[in-house]
Amino acid sequence: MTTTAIGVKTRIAEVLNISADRVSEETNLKDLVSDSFLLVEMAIELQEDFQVRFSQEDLKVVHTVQDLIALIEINLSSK
Amino acid sequence: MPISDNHHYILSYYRTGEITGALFFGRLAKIMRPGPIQMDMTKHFADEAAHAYYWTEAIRRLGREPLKLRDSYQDQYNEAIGIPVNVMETLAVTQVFERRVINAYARHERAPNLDPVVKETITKIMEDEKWHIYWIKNALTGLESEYGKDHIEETIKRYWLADKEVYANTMQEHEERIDEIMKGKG
Repeated sequence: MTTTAIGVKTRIAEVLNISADRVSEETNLKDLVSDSFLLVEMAIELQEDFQVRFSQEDLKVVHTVQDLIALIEINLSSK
Repeated sequence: MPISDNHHYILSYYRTGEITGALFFGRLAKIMRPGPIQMDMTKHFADEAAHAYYWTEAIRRLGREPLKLRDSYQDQYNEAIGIPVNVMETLAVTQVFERRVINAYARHERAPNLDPVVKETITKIMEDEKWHIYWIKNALTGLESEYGKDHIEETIKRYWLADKEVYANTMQEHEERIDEIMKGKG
């Protein structure tokens, strides 16, 4: 597992106030986020932590934690 | 004399919208990094909460109790537009929404035979609303180096188009009630 993957999973668990054990790469984000605004909070926090930017369009194809990790890694590699 | 059912509904709708706005900005203000946007967003949150109180008080002064309305205009936005996922998108959608709000209040203020309590409340809120437009415009300008001027303009345009569609599709009942008020029958 990459450093980014570990960081993303840890941060998701912190923002959502859940145990890190509940966040696997296959986890569907909709199963973790009870209200849509939590997704906004999580997205903004991750962008600030990793110094990346993603848009509503980018998130349309993000379904699982792995998709989110990949999006952040692509953003980081294109910097 | 208590206000009409149309006015009762519309003022309750304003109140619900202001509460939704306060909750939205409160949550955003909580996670913003320190800086001017955090400061202004916190004030925006406080203003929206105050406006919800003004409408609650106004409705009671007019002899009614606020209606419990389930959905606000913002909820319909989220369904149609999707949720914004970065600070720029959040501000862009808010700018579009605030212009819709300010136009709605300005239109209502021109209604004939408007009760002084409603007029006084709208006038008070409009002062804050003008500032909301101002700070968001400035904040978006400040984000141009980070997101790109063109990208910000495209995002605002996309939200404008979506706003028109949401309004046309979901606000028919609201429009009918406002039309009655504008004819002085409110």
